[in-house]
Amino acid sequence: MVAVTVTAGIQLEGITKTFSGRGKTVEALREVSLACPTGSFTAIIGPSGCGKSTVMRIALGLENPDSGTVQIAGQAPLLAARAGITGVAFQDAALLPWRSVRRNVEVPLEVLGRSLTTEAPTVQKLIELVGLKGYENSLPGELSGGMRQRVAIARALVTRPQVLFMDEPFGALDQILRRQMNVELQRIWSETGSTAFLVTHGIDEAVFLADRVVVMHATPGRIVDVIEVPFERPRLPTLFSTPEFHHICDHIAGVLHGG
Amino acid sequence: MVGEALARHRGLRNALLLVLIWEVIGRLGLVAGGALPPPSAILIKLWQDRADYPLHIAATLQASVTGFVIGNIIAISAGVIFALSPTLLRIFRGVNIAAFALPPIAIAPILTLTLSGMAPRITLAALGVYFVSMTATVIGISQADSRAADLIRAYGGGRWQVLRRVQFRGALPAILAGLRVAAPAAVLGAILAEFGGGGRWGLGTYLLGSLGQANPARLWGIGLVATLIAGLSYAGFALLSRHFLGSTRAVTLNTAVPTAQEQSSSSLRRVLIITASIALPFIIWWGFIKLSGAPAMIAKTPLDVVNYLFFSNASATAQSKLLQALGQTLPITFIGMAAGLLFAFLLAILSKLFPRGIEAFMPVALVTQTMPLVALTPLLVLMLGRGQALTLWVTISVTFFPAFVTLAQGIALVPNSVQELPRAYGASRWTEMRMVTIPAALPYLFAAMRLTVPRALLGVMIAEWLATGKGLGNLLNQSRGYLDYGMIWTVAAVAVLLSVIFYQLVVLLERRVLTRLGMTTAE
Amino acid sequence: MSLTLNRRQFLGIAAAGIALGVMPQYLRAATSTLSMQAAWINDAEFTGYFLGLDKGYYTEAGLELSYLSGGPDVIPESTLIAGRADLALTSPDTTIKAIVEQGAPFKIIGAQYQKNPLGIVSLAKKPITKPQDLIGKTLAVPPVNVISVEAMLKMNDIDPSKVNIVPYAYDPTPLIKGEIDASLDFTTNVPYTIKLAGEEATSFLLYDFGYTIYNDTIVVTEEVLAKKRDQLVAWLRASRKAWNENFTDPAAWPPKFADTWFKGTGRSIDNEIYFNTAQKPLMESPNGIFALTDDGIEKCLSALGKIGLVGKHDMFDTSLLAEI
Repeated sequence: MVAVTVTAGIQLEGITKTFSGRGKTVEALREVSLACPTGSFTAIIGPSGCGKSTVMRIALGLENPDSGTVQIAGQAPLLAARAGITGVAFQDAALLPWRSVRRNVEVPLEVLGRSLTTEAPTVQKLIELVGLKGYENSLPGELSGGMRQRVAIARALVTRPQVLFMDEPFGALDQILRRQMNVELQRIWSETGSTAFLVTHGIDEAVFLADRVVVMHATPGRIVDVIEVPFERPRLPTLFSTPEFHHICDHIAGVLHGG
Repeated sequence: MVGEALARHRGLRNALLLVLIWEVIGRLGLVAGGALPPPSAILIKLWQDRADYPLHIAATLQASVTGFVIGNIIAISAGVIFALSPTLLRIFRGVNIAAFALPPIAIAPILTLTLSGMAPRITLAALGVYFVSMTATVIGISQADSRAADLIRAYGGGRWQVLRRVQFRGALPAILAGLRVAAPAAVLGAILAEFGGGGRWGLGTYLLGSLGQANPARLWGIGLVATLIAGLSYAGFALLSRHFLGSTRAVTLNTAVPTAQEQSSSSLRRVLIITASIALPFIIWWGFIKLSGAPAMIAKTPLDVVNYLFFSNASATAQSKLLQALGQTLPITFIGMAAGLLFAFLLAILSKLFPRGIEAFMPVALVTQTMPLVALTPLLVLMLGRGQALTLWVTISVTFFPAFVTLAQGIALVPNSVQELPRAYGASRWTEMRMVTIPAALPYLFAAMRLTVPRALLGVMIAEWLATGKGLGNLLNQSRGYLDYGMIWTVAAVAVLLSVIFYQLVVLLERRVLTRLGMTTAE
Repeated sequence: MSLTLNRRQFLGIAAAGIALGVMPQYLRAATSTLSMQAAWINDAEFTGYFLGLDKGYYTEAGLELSYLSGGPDVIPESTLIAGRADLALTSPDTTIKAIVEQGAPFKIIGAQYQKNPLGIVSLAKKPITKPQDLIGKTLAVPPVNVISVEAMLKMNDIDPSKVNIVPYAYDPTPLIKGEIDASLDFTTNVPYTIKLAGEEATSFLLYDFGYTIYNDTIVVTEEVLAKKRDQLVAWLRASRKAWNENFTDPAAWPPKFADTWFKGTGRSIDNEIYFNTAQKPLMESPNGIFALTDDGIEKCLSALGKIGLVGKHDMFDTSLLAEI
């Protein structure tokens, strides 16, 4: 385990979580500890049901762990959320269908009670950054899947978060679109300089984006390995076809399936 | 689109054809010695009576609109509160089931006794609205996109923020759909209360006043106007939701009383909640009596009813009367439940096998649902006599339609890919139906059953009240005449209690069967 | 239809409804006014009161009379108990039953019909002219009146189980179509309806076969009797005056109410004239309209005794009529 003293990153220590229902109890997470330094990009990968989304939900304060501590930029998750330190993008965009692109991007600002007028230039800049200029007033129903996902990214960045969480943000997209989005995400993230935490199914996506890939196994959900990804930034799309890239991917796949 | 237009065209043609057949039958006096008036005679009578209608319509509208507004304010607020607090939802479960199963015929006399002026009409209209809108709200709110709700919470938003920004707006289509079903219910509730309410104006009053005129054309005319108002209110809300949401949503009848998920709570807490849930309807009953300020001789509390039935001088007679009535009512109620459900089930299967034949039948079926039964009863009596056949028929007509809608929806929802499997092996449509469609629609069969059982009791009581002179319905009617207030309240309480018990039994059976088959309850 | 209301109208209606619904009317019971609950919807049965109201006879007598219409499902005694009316027109059997069995504090202070207009109505082509004719026949009776009919049958030595009694919903269609053989209804009214449908009716009164009760008895609670005695006497006086004027020509008054009292009932004025004419002999008495004679009370009580209702003479208070 990498032990780094963190002030503004993510720190999880000894997280345990069990779910009970219908007479059965499921150990979702056992003794999960993880530290992500400020400005780093961490990807977390594992089979379905390994608890990787639960890790993120606990880090966001949406679930409470049975034991263990969580600190986001040195604060409890809920406090960090209320202070506007965190940003989040979910799988399937989770846009409000009755709000336009701009109004969807504004949702976190409204929840945090920030002034929409002051932030209007930021909102506009972000919409342009994700390449949706001209679609400000469109409704989600009028956008393609990729465009919706980009709205979600813009929304995740609108509070200028120090810590950015993403739960399979491109899970619903096809392979080609997904690669494009990966490249764009890297560009956007490097411009903001935040600590990023990505939950994903895709090994190539994890390797392309992250500084470190955390591999989890299921029953009980636990971390089995953390693999450093040494590539220089900015990483170019050509990286996908290099032997080094495939080498790391194969290694991670081995850890994933090896047990 | 073209198919839709064609279907609509065909529906119209079928409806016209039916009206034509009706006209011929009516003109020739083929049904019940000419007691079924032809449509032209109904329209002519409607025109002749046109001066009578405006004030009656205005009175009915006033009561139903007021009841609709009040009922919905209560229902939607309750729905929001229930969606936010599962504990409260569990505590109110008894009240909600009672509101669903309540036979209007049993409580209309009670409302007219304890309230005055327009209040009974408004209350019954509001009661007709409550369950539909409350359920729509709870379901709409709890089905709102949970990821969108997570998003708000991830930024530190509390319950209120989630409710305001995601859930309530997300529930709007469901709520509007609920209002659409609730609007005709308000109209029918208001008319029903007019029957017992006195006063000069209102379509129900007009109908009763016209009963003695031996003029079926007018009775049908009034029924038709009532149907039209109910239909227009439905269409009005359909337009409104299209306007607001840019889309329509299939409206289905909801038969499940919303339940809260069992939280891991201590058994003491669970017992407390269940006790509260059973006690609350009685507390509300008691509170209603106290608040209405009606004299004790008329308005009976739950304790008064227990006292009347078990500890008073009259209790021996009262018990024997009640038991005799129950002995007459219950058997036919069970038969009626089975018959209504079977009829709905056959109809649902037929509508899948022969969609066109059923299409023609639908307009007639719809009219029977909104036509006040009082207007139809003389005709039914002439056609069927006053025996069990009539009771059964009234019960079927009260129960089959909602059950049919639910079942047809269930059958339509069976995934195509599943249905295609037997077809790929050359199965006939019937085999496919038997192997796949019917078993897959089982949850909807139970949903239909939940809807049918309380309504069956309602249907039997209506028939008893209006035609056969037996059982609970007649006892209720007679007790009103004899000013036997203890008995009026007893019959009403027993009717509500029975409906609740029937409903709960179906729920228990449903849970068992569906759990064993690994299926989930259909909402 | 509800959608065509504009917002203000809508809110107005809603507010009115709420006000009506919320305010308990028991608290609003008037003290200076008098309210009466009729026994049926507005028809010729109540011509005298309409006349009195229109000609101001009640106002002259210092009364502000409010008139509450009845209907098949309105139980006038309940209105009295609820305190929504000061006096009500009732059938004596239910009233005395309520006094005996429920302890209702009622007094009968007059009787509109000296002879109960209720009778057995049948078609002339299948006539039923006496109780014996009913044996083996189907008779429709409103559930409330079943005990009365059974009593009448017993008085005439007929086993009630030999007559098939079914509920009657006040719709003569089943009779006209022959589904039933006879019905119990107002003989003053239904024969006209049957005639309109192209049949002739025949009828006999229960009264003429031993069931000698009044109808539309004027009932008050003891409390109202104590508090408003003078107003009640004034009401009896004004009402008698109006009824007497009405009966000078039974065809004269119903047409005058076509657009007021009789509006919206769906009944024809000819029907009301027929009714008004037919009820004259049943109401008139040598002792004046509303008369309660010792003989009449005795007959009424003895008939009710036959159905097991033991009424007493003091349930009637004849002293108010004596003051007129």
